[in-house]
Amino acid sequence: MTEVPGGRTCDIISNLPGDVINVILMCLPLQDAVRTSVLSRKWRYNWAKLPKLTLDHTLWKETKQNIFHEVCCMLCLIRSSPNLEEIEIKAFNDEEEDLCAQEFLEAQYYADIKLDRLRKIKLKQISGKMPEMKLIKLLLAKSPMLETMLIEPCTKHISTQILIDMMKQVAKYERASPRAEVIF
Amino acid sequence: MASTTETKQKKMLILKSADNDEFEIEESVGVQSETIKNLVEDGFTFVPLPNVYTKALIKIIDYLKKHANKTDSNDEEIKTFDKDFVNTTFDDLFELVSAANYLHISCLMNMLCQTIADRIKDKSPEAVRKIFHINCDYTPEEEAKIRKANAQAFEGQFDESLD
Repeated sequence: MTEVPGGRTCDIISNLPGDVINVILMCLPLQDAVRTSVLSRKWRYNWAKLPKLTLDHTLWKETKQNIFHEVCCMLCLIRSSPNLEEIEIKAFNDEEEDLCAQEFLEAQYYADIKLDRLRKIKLKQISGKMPEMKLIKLLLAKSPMLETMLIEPCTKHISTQILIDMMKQVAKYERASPRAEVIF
Repeated sequence: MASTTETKQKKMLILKSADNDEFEIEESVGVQSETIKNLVEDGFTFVPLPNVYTKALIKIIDYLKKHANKTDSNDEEIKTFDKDFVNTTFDDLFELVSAANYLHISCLMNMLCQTIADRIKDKSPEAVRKIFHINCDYTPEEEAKIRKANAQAFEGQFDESLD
């Protein structure tokens, strides 16, 4: 390192450890993190290697996508993030059920998905709709290292009966990880 | 018991910056840094920090002193201090984050990373490149391809300012 002030700063940034870049990227909304892929070759896949991903309404709100697109975006992201250890998904929108999404989730297309490092999943505002249940099923079946899946039901919109049915259904799903715990 | 705690609190450490300035601080202040804590546990009282320059070290010592005296009543005061602490140039923030990372002060690291993220949020890639001093090594064709692949992320207006 040199003593020249300008030169020193350049050194500091290019020598910032990957951890620091990761922490900065994880503090950014996803779209902003994705945009860093265009900065330079070194940054091309930084965002995709993040160990933690938070998916919320900012991802699709502006484009007014339906639940099919939400699930689609989500799975593409999860699939292309090999280091994922934690994922938080919140705010599915309130549109009615979409048959496309169900078919899509059932399709063989995702048979090869494997989430080897995923340890924690947090799902917020879940109301027991089919696409959500399919997503829960898929995540449980494909995450061999899973420790906890926290499901926060959207209590404002669903009855106790729906909640009980949801719990029963989730209890039946196959789990790739023997120690996976599902908490409501 | 009370007297041992007292002598413990008064134990001093010397930190030496990369530009060879020395700073004496209380051990209880210094051990908020995991790196310093490990050295203290190994019996060191003189700590050379070859990766931390004087300018950043002065600010970090200020931060550690402030946070070492954290009580329930001065919560607001610390919040104001923190806000002021991060109100600086990007170059200073990068130097501080690099030092905080080397010293393993996680609360400071998180605060600095969040600040940097909040400030580059909504900025154009061109502006972020300048802020991070990044040389773009893509060909225009490659860059266009990446933008197209993640088209949604590049829609809309972005902030071109560098502050």
